[in-house]
Order: sequence, then C-alpha cells, then structure tokens
Amino acid sequence: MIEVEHLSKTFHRPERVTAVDDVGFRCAPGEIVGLLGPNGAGKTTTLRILATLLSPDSGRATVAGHDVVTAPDAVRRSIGYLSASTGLYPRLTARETLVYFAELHAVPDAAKRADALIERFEIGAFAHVRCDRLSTGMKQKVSIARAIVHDPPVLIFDEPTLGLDVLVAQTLLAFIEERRAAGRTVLFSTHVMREAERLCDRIAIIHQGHILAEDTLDALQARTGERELEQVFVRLVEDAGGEPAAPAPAAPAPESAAP
Amino acid sequence: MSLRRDTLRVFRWDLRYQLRDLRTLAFVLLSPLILVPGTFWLSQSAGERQAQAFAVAAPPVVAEWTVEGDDITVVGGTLEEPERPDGVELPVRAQVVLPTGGGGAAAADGTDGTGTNGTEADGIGTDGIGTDGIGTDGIGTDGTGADGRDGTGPGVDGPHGAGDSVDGTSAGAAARDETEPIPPDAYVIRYRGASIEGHAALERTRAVIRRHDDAERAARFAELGLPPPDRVLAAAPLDVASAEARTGDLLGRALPIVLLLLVLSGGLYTALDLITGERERGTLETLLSAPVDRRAVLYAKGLSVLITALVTTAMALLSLGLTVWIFGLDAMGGPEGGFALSPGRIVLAGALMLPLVVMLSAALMMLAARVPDYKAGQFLSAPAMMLGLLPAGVAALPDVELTAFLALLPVTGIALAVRALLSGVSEGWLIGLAFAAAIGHAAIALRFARNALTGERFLLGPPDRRSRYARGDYLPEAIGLFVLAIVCLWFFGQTAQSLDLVWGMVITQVALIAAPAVAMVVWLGRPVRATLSLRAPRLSDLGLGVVAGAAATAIGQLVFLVQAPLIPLPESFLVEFGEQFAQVSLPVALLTFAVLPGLCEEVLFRGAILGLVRARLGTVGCCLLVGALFGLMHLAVPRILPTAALGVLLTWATLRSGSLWVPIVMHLVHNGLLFSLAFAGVGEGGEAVLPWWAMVPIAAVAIGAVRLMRGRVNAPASHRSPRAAA
Repeated sequence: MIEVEHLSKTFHRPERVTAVDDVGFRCAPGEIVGLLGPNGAGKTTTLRILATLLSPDSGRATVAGHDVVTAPDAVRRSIGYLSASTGLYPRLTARETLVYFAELHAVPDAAKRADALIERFEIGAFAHVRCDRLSTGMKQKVSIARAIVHDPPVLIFDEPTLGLDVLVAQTLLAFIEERRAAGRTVLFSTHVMREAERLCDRIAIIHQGHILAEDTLDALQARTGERELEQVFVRLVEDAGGEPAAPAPAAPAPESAAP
Repeated sequence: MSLRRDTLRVFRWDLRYQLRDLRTLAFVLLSPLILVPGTFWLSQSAGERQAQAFAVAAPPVVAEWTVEGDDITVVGGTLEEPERPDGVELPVRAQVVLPTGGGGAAAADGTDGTGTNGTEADGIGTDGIGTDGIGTDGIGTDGTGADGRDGTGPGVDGPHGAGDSVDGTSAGAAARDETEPIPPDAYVIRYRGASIEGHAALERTRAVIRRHDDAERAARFAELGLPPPDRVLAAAPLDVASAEARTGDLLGRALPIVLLLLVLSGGLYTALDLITGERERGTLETLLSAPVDRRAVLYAKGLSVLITALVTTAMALLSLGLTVWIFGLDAMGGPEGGFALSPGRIVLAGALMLPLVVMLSAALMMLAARVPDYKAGQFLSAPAMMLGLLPAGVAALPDVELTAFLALLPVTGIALAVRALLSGVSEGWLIGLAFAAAIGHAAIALRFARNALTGERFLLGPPDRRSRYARGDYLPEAIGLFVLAIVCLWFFGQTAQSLDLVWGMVITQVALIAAPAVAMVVWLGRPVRATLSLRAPRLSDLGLGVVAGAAATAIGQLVFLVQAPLIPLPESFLVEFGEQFAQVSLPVALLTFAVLPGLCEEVLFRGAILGLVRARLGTVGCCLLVGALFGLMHLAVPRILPTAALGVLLTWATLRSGSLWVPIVMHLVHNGLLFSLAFAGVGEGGEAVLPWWAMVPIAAVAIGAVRLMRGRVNAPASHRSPRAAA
C-alpha cells in the first residue's frame, strides 16, 4: 500500500523549481498505478521521495504503512526500486549483482536466492558475464531481478521500459502483471500511453508537479469525454490551463537527475 | 551491529569491484614499484655523470699557474687521456678574464684563439680539460695541449688581450654578468652555468686560482717569517648531532610530503570511482534504496579509499626498501653513518600520521562527492594535490620549528610533529597537541564528507553539465582554467622569469597564460572568436580605450594609497622592481611588460574567462569575478587590489565595447604609461606621481570613458556548444 498526501518538493539549484507540488494518490495491494506524465513532470522526484532517496519539503507519504521520513529503513525493506537507469555495477557479473543485493537485504541464503532469480528471469546464459558487456535488454532483466531479490510487497519502477526493444518490454510488462496477480503493490512511472492503458488499474496524470487527475482509465475517459488516453491527457492539461507537453510515443532520453 | 555488518558488506563488494579496475591496480600496485626505482635510477645516473664531471675537474689534473705582473703563465700539467672516464664529453665552459688590463674582455681560446666554438663552449675550446690552454698573452693559443682539439682549457684573458676572441655568451648572460659587482683587480671566470660541465670547469679554474693564491700568500708570510696563513687559526667542523637525530631530521622533512603525495595519488582513483562513478553510473540510487545504513555507505567507501591509499604507501615503501637493497644505502645518499633510527620512533611516527591519512581520505571523498563527474575530478586532482602539498612543504623549510600555533594547523602541524619526533628536538606536549589537532581535523573532515555523501545534493549531482553547457554556463571550467594558469605560473613562470626576465616573461605570457586559455576554449568546443570577443571594435571605443587606459593608472595609484595603511608597499618590492628595469632598455620593457601582457593576459581574462562566465553572471558579477581573479594572478599581496580594480575596469570595457581589442589597448596603454614614467624616473621610490585630489578626477575620466563605450554589447551566449549537442 502506498499513500501520498499533499507531497511537495522544491529544488533550489541551479534555479528554484518546484518539482512536486501538493501531490496525492493511493496505490493498494494487488493494484497497478501508473504515474503518467511528460519528461520533467515530477514523476522521478515523486518516486525518489517514496524510495526515501529524497525527503519531501511538506506533505506525507507512507509505503507499506511506514512513513518515508520517520521510518526510512522500514520503507527500504518493503520496496523494490528500479531507477530510470539500469543502475548496475559495470565490473560485477549479473550473478554477483544479485548476491550483493540479496546480502544487503539480509536475504537468508543469498546465493540460492540469486540462482533462483537467474532461472526465473532466464539469465543463466550470461549470469557470469560482467554487466558492462551485457545488452540493454539483458541489463534490464538483471536490474529487475535485483529489484525483487528480497521479494518486496511494494514495487516502484521508474520508466522501466525505457530504451528496451519491443520483446524485452513485453516480457517486463508481463512480469508486472504477474506481480499484481501475486498481490503486490506496483507503482510505475511512464510517459508511454499504451503501457499505461494496458497495465494500469488506476492512472495518476502528473504535469508540472501537479496531479491533474487520478482515477481508472474508464473514469478518466468519462470525465474528459475522450477515448484515447493521449487525448485524455491533452484535455486534462488544457483544462488545467497549461501548455500540453505531448508525451512521446517512442522512448526519448531519461529524465535528467536534477530538474 | 547492523552498521558494522552493512559497512563490511558494502566494503567487501566495493573492494572486489575496485580490484577489477585496471587503473586502480596500476596506480596502487604498479606505479610505486616502477616509479621509485626508476626515479632513483635516473637521478643516480645523472648524479654519476655529475660526479664524473667533477672528478675530472679535481685539482690534481690541473696545471699550476704563475702570475708575474699582468702575465699569466701556466706551468706544466697535461691531462692524461686515460684519466678521463669513458663517454664523458667535457667541453670546457669557463674562461678567466682579467678585466683590468685594457683591451676589453677578450677571451683566450684554447683551440684557435678566436673562439670558433663560441656558441657551444662560450668561446673556449671544445673539450679540453684545461691544463694547457691558457695563453700567456690572452689569445689562448694551444698552449701545451697535445692537440688543438683536446688541449684546450679555461682561457685567461691577459691584460693585453687581442680583443678578437669571441664571447659566446648570450646577451642575457652577459647582462647578468655585468650586473654583479666585480672588484677591479679580480679575475673574471666566465662560465656557462646551465651545464654540469660549466660548473665543473668553474670549480676547476677556481681551484687553480685558489692554490696559486694560497701558495702566493704562504710565500709572502714566509718572507715575513710567519707561519703559513692556514695555520694561524685552524678550524675543523664537527657535527655534534647524534646519528639518530640526523636521520630523523632528514626523514622527518621528506616523509610527510612523500606520504601525502602517495595517499592522495593512491586514494584518488578509488574515491572518484567509488563515489563520483557510483553516481554517474546510477548505482548510487539502487544502493541507497536498499536497507543499508547511510553511515555504512560512507564508512565502507572511506575504508576503501583509506586502504588503497595505505596500500599505495606500503607498496612505495616496499619499493623503496627493494631499491635500497639493490642499489645500496650509500648510493642513495643516506646520512653519514647510515640510517640510525629506533623502530619505536618509526612506529610512533606512523601512528602520528594516521589521523592525517584519515583526513586526506575524507578530503578525497569530499572532492569526489562535489565534482560534477569523473572527468572533472581528474581535471581538479592536480591543483588539489598541489594545494595539499603546500602546507606539508612548509614543514620541510629550514628554520620552521613546531610551535603551539603551527601544531594546530592541518597538515603542517602533523608534518612538523613527525619531524620533531624523529629528530627528537621538540617537547612532547607539542607533538601531543599536533596529534590531538590532527584527530580533530580528521573528525571535521569526516563530518564534512558524511554531509557531502549523504546529502540530496550528492544524489542529484550538480546541475547536469550538458544543460549547463547548453546555457553557455562554463563557470567551473573558467575557475579551473584560472587555477591551472596560476599553478603553472607559480611553479614554472616564476622560475622561468628568475632565469631570464625577458624570455621568462615571453614564456609565461604566451605558453602559460594565453595558450591554455585558447586551448580550454577549443577543448570545450566553444567558438573561439565569439568566446574571446575577437571582433573588430568601433573606432570610437578604441579611442576611449586609449583615454581610459591612460587614466586608469590613477585608479591603481589611488587604491595603493587607500590600502597603504593596511598593506604597505615593502621597500624590497620597489628595489626588485627597479632591479628588473635596470636589466632592460625601454623598448624591450615596453614590449615585455606592456604589449605582451596586454595581449596575453587579456586573452585569458577578458577573453576566455569572461567568455566562459558571462552567460552565467551579470555585468556586476562578471566584473567582480574576473577583476578578482586578475588581481590574484599578480601573486604579490600589495598588487592584488590595485590590479583587481584595473581588472574590473577592463572587464567592464569588454562588456561595453563587445571587443577584446579595447581592453587590449587599455592594458597596453596603462602598462606602457606606467613603465615609461618609471623609466623617466617619475614616481621613483614609490611615492605617488600626483596628489590624491588630482588623481580622483583622472580616475573618474577612466570610468567615464568606459561608460561612453557603446559597441556591440555581448548578448548572453545561449548557443549550444557542439560538445553539449553531441
């Protein structure tokens, strides 16, 4: 379970930017919620706050019942976080990466768990290859295995299909659906409308740090009178009085680290 | 419990990761193993060559002289060819000139009396050893030499020298010779100091003269019935310091600097790879989102940096031990009587330096956390290392002893304490104070490192370099360029200028100031002409520049006056200034001190630095920053503020006129006027040319002239650089 209320975050360098402004949404167990918005909308900042990497200026967020500010350790134990970059150590092998993170999460038998994941994600063929020699798709598989090495109840994925070819992306989406079926809470950010349409039970549309709407796809369509999610998005942005920053169908560069 | 467990886990994996990095392995393991014996071998072979050169120059192989009246005669003594070590070429590079005899400073030349070898051997023969080439008539015939080639020696100019010999010294060397006071009846020994052979020849010639002098004096004393003069008051040196103290002092001066260098160079790559690299490759986010105590991440990385630094140090010491073992201690110039130091003291010295090593590791971590990326970290490492070496270097200076104040300073305190401990000359409580202070410094550094590593700013990183470049903001690069230039100036420019003022200035201005500026602009992929504001100026602006440059001399003088109570102009400053002038003529001075800085310094400051920061800072910010850097560049404290004031005006003029040619003209006119006045003797002794009330309106004219400039004012550079676009 993820609960976010009135969350705000402002960066002051190099110039003052309010990246997240009074954001609120919920994500229940067995549910996939998509955070949909263009580059620079505040998706990464929101997810980083939930992953306890950044602290909010105001508002409140809890993950699996733990407050991100007062109980960050408990939050970290509960989440599997996948950042926008694959975040792998170039000079460690795929298997070593899994063992390392299993150890960090104090998984009882780290090596055994790593081997199980290697089998589950079919990465045995390159399990002993250094990560800097893997293709993007292989890296993403290792990344996902790393994120769930401790079988967390909550998954937070930041643009997980970024830069992936169609086949790998499909595998990943299927995996996310499987997690939902297993009763996990899944929050993922994307700017690809089709992914959100396919996966999300509920969609939170974020633009310039504000949540413009948060509901099921059907409800959003009914509210805007549009059929396509892309049109829904544009309508909501226009209604909010903003310039629609059309989300790209393809995968552009990742959101920069700083706003 | 979990903190220790987490620390060890992260550390173990960091270490494994690090051991797979070839650069780290090369730095930590290979470079000390190769560098120490390699450096020693090089210095030893150079030392051997020098020793051979001087061995040949030893007195026994040199002829005896007699002097009768103005005639100099060489009696006996030819060099036996076998006594010269194989492969050592010894062109003689000294000659003796007796200037009192009239006929000018004609040199005797052993080879042919006319100095055909002038360029190489200062007008003296090629390679003789000087036993025989001393002409009695100042023309330097072949003397008693076996042949013309070998039998040349230091030429002695007789009083009636023919004047046709060639003096092969350069103008600069000649000028230097002339500035030294020479007693009218002295023999002048001309030699070329830039070579070992030159010094060898000088020593040999001196030895000849000394022995002649001694013999002459002894004879005169004997005539008077007195004992030989060297028996009147005999003195022999006796070193009363213990062997341990001698060793300790020697080791104590060198050890802190060596340790600092090793720790910094050894730990640098690890720090950059494990901290800057962790953020760059995106693993920091995944690591920090795992349930790991943040302190554990800090400690693990600190431990890795510390251990690589210590391993590098250990490898260097091991390598040193092997070198001693291979070459022998004597060959390495150890103290007389060999090394004598109790192991206890060495262990204590090691313990004393431990907090210093921790502090340096923390400093490296801070640097790694603060730099934008790996490349920038490497770029900044050299100036940072030099900055760290300076306080350690203080401890190696003579006459600097451990005091309570110095004990409290970071790096310097512990470096002095190590020396004091090893040589056993200081009180225990001072060493204890330095140790306590070092622990405090280490704790503060660790605290800063923790803040640097756990803060959000580290995770987010500095503003994305590409977006910064796209905005035309190159502030860090501009500061880096300045640091690079000032470090080069400090280490190389001053040396070059002390060797030869004019050519030193040329090298400094062109190679150390203008060239790096242009290179940096090119390296960053910026358009050179636009960044340096190399546009044709409006003629009116150029005219105003001439007026402003001339009137700006009053601004400098006013600042000198205002700061005088706080920062007085030391007399030595003026004396040195005057001495510099005495060496050159006005046209040369104008070229060297007005035209050259006008061009080169403007290319660096109003060209490159201003061009790289003007998109980030407004007019006021640009003027203040570039002005301040310009002031700092002039190194001497009394000159900083006056020069900075001029720098502000020049920067403003660049922004107003939009052309670099305007500040170039201003700078040129300003310097030219100052130097012309100095040559004319106006303002000698440091007093102001005009009273302050007269200078105020002149300064106002300078400011007004710049205000009137209205050429193309630079628009903020928003064009995307090719590098950023790539």
